[in-house]
Amino acid sequence: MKIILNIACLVLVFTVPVFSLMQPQGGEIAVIVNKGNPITSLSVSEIKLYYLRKLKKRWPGINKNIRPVDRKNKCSEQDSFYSQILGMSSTEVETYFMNKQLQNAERPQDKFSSDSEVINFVGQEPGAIGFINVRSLTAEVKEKIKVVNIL
Amino acid sequence: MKKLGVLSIYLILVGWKYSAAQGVLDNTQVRFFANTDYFLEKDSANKTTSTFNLGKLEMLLTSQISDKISLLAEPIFSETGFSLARVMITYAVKDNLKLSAGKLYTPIGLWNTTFYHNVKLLTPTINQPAIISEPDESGVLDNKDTGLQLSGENISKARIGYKFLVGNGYSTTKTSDITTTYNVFVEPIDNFKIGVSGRLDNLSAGSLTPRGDFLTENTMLNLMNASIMYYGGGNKFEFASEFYKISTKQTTAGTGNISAYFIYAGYKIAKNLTPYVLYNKLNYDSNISWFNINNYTGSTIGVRYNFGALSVLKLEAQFLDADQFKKLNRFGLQWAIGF
Repeated sequence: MKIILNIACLVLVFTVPVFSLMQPQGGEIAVIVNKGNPITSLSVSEIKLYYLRKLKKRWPGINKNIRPVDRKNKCSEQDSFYSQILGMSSTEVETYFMNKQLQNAERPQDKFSSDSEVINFVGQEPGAIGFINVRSLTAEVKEKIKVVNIL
Repeated sequence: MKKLGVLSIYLILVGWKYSAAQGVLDNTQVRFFANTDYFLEKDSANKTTSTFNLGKLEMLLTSQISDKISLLAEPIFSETGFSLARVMITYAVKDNLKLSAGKLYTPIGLWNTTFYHNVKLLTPTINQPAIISEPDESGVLDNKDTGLQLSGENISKARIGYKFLVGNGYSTTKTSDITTTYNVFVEPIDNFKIGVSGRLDNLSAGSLTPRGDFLTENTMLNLMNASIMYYGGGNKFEFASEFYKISTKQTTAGTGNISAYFIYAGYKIAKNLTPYVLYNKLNYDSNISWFNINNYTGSTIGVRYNFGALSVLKLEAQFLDADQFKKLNRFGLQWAIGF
C-alpha cells in the first residue's frame, strides 16, 4: 500500500508541472474597459454580446459607441479571448466584423500590437472594450483602466 | 445620388491626404474586394462553352464621422466603367432608432441585407439566388433603392428589428408615387432570424424599369416575403430560406403573379471547408410582360474553402432549367479575395 502511495505521489509531482506547462503561454486574460464606463463587471456571455456589438451598439449609462479592441497579430491572449469568450476562430471573427462593416458601416475592431498599446487606447477611448494578459495589470495600469472580468 | 457619392468619396480622400484632417484618417477604413470566375457549360443542344470572367473590383469606404454619424460608400470598378453600388449616410439616434439616407440595399428578406451583391468573398454561393440577383444577372427584384430609411434592432428580449424605407422603387420618373418597403424580423436565438417584408410600388405610365422597359400604363406592384436564416457566429450548420410573392395590377393587362423561393443549407465539415446546396425556383404568369422574365429552376451543389478571412474558393455544379436556355449544366469555380 505504501509503495502504491509513493508511486502516486511521484506521478503527481511529475505530472502537475507538465500539465501547467501545457497551458497557454499567455495565461489568464483580463477584460478591460475605460475608467469612465459605469459598468463594474461583465459575465462571459455579456462580454461576447458587447464585444461583438450584438445586443447593444452603445454602452448603457454613457451612450457611447462600443469600440472593440483587438490585437494586430496572432498571440496567446487573442487565442484565449476568441476561444474562451467568443467561441469563434480568427477567420470567423474577421468575417463577422467585415460583414458588419459592409451591412451598416460599422467600425471594425481597433487593432494594436501590444498590451501597453491596448491599455493606452482603452484608457483614452470611453467606449473601448479590450483584453490583456493579467501579467500586464500593474498598479499603474489599474489607475488607467477598469477590469470587468478575469479569465 | 451619384454626384453625392463621388463628393463623399472625394471628401474622404482629400481628408486622408491632408494631415489637417487626421480625425478623418483615424476614423476611415478602406477595403477592396475582387473575384474571378470560370464556368464550363453544356446546354440542351450539347454545346459546350468555357468562360473566364473577371469580376468587379469593389472599394468599400466607411467612416465614423462622429459618435453618431457614419458614412459608407461602395464604388464598383468594372471593365465597362465605374458605378456606385451604395452610398449611405446614417445618424444613429440610439440602438433602436437609426436614420439612413442614400442608395441602400432594399430591405426585402434577410439574404439581400446580409450578403453583398459584389463582395463575393462574403457570399455563401457563387451566384445569388435568382430572385435577388443583380439586374444584369437576370435578377427580378430592385435589390437597391434610393431613399430614406428608419431602422432599429435588438428591441426587447425577442430582439426585434425593423427597417422602413421610402424610396424611388423601380421608377426612374418623377411622376410615380414613392415606394414603401418594410422589413420586420426577430432573432430569438443568436444567429437565428425570422422575418417578413413587404413592398408597395405605384408606377405611372412611361416609367422606365431597371431593365429598360417603358410601362404603357399605370402599374401597381405589391411584394410579400417571408424569410428564415441561421447563419454565422461560428456555427457549423447554416441555413436560409425565403419565399416571395409579387403581384402586379394593370388596367388592361389585369393582374399577374410571380412566386419564387429558395433554400440554402451548408455544413462546415472541417475548420475552413463547407459543402452546401442551393435550390431556387421562379414562376411567372404569362401576362406579366414588363419584367422581361423567364421561369427558372436551379439546383446547385458546391463546396467553399476559406483560406483565412480574406480569400475564399468556391466550386459548384449547377443544374439549371430556364425558359431562355432550356437545360444548362454548369461547372463553376470562383476565387474571391479582400484586401
